[in-house]
Amino acid sequence: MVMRPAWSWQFDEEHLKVPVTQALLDEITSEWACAGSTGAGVRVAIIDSGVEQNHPAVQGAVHGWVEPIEGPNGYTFNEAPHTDAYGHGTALAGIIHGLAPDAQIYSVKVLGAGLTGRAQTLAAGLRWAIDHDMHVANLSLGLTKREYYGLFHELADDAYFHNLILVTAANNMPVPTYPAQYASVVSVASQIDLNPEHFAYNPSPPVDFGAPGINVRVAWLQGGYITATGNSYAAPHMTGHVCRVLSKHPGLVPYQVKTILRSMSSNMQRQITEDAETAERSGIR
Amino acid sequence: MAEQESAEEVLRLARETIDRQRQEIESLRREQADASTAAQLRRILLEAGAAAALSEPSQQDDLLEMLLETASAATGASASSLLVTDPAAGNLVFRAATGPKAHEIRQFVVPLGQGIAGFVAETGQPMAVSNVTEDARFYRDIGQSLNYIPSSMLCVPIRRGDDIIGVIQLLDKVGEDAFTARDMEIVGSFVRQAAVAIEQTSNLHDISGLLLISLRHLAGEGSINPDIEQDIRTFVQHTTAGSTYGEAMALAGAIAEIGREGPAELTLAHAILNSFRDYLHSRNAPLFTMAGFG
Repeated sequence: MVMRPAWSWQFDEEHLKVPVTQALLDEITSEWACAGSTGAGVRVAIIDSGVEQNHPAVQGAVHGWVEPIEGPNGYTFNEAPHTDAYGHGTALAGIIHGLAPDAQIYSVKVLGAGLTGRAQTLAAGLRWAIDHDMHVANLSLGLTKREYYGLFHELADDAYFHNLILVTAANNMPVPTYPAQYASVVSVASQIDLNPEHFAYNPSPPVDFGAPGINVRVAWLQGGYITATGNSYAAPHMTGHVCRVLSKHPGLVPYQVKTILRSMSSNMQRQITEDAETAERSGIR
Repeated sequence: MAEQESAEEVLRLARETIDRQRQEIESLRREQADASTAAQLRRILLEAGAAAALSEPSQQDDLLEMLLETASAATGASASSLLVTDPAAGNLVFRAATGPKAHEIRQFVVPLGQGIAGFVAETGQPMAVSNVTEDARFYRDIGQSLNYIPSSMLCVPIRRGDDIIGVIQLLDKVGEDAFTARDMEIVGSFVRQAAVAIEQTSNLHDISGLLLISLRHLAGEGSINPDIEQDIRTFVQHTTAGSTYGEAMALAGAIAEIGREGPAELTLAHAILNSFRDYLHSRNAPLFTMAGFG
């Protein structure tokens, strides 16, 4: 029996919809997209609970630290190194670092202060990432209150226009989450396949991709590891792939990145191969 | 030829009869099991309702414990706990617990901003973990003091409107490495009712009604273990159909009101009811025990 977070059933064998292949676009291969890339030169913000810098899965990969602090006149940003309140941020960093070891991680700490001011703090963290030229940001969290729809939609649009790729995790319960729900972001839920190199494309959004998120071994506090399930852990896999692609092909804009990811995905690759075989068999070349 | 056919025919009929009888026996067994489970559940509900109606608001914890027990049973958890947020103190406080260390665990608090429970309380995202022994802090500190370190865990937030007011933790699913998606759904229904129970202060009638609502809710959800679902459907049907339930609740409510006047008043009410009961017994004594009838 497998614990499967919400939005993930779409990536089951029997439910995975057949993608429509697209000639020229499908000539994009993983090879072209990211072979040999280690994420060098890419700035990736992890907007979460902090990161344990000296965890063996992180290996000192954090280049910068930011903690939005609420004050009487809005937010200030504390740039001193911080710790991970929960272990969650370290888990994400471990996954991203594993896939893109040379990517420059920036830890934006918006969790761990208890229950206060969460939406505004998250908005401040996202604002920071946009304003400081991050290439990609991982948001394995979000908000469900409808009243925040507008605020985060505006931020997501702004990120998009600044060519900042937002990779978000769908909610673990079957409810919408912002910003994961928006069209402009790369939203991710869980697939059963544990191979970090594999991900699936979903032709019926709002969830765009499925990556490993079920019984994943992840870094946790104090140098440890746990086995966890959640869409939280699927998102950083896609973040890692985005880092690789951006490193090999600098200057790509969000819609180009999404197209490339789509072509790279395992179900798309399978369909392309099948189509080619069918064409060959029927003599069409 | 004809003989062979007729032998085959006889065999086929015999098999059909045996199958039919087997099905009938099975369905009779199920009915019986349903009826006895339904009877058990009905008794528990009545006792719970009565206890809630007669007791102090702090007895809500008993109700929470009962909800927790049922959630544990439904998901196969070996232990569980329900924590409520105390934002002023910056803590999560244990309100109910089940399992081998249930009594001892109540002495602890979990600071907000730490641990898996803290994470779930802050983000509102449920979390399922196995190999929890590798998680530092909370489970090592508290686990070691209790000499109980769980290995699998499901932690689910309790929401009241948009606010997260606590978490439910289920530990060590029996016979499995990890809790499942279905377990998360089951706990999801319970947390909604737990949220209401936590907020209740003095409206005691609502607590028993609440339990009934939560069971109806489960019966309506259709997303839980089909055996449990059927038990609950049967139970709800029998209970709400019976007039005695409503009457028992009304009676319990009246006694609760009297009880609020004071212990002496409650004792007097009890004495009056006992006398009335004894009178009814004597009145209903069968006539044929009177002398003169054979």
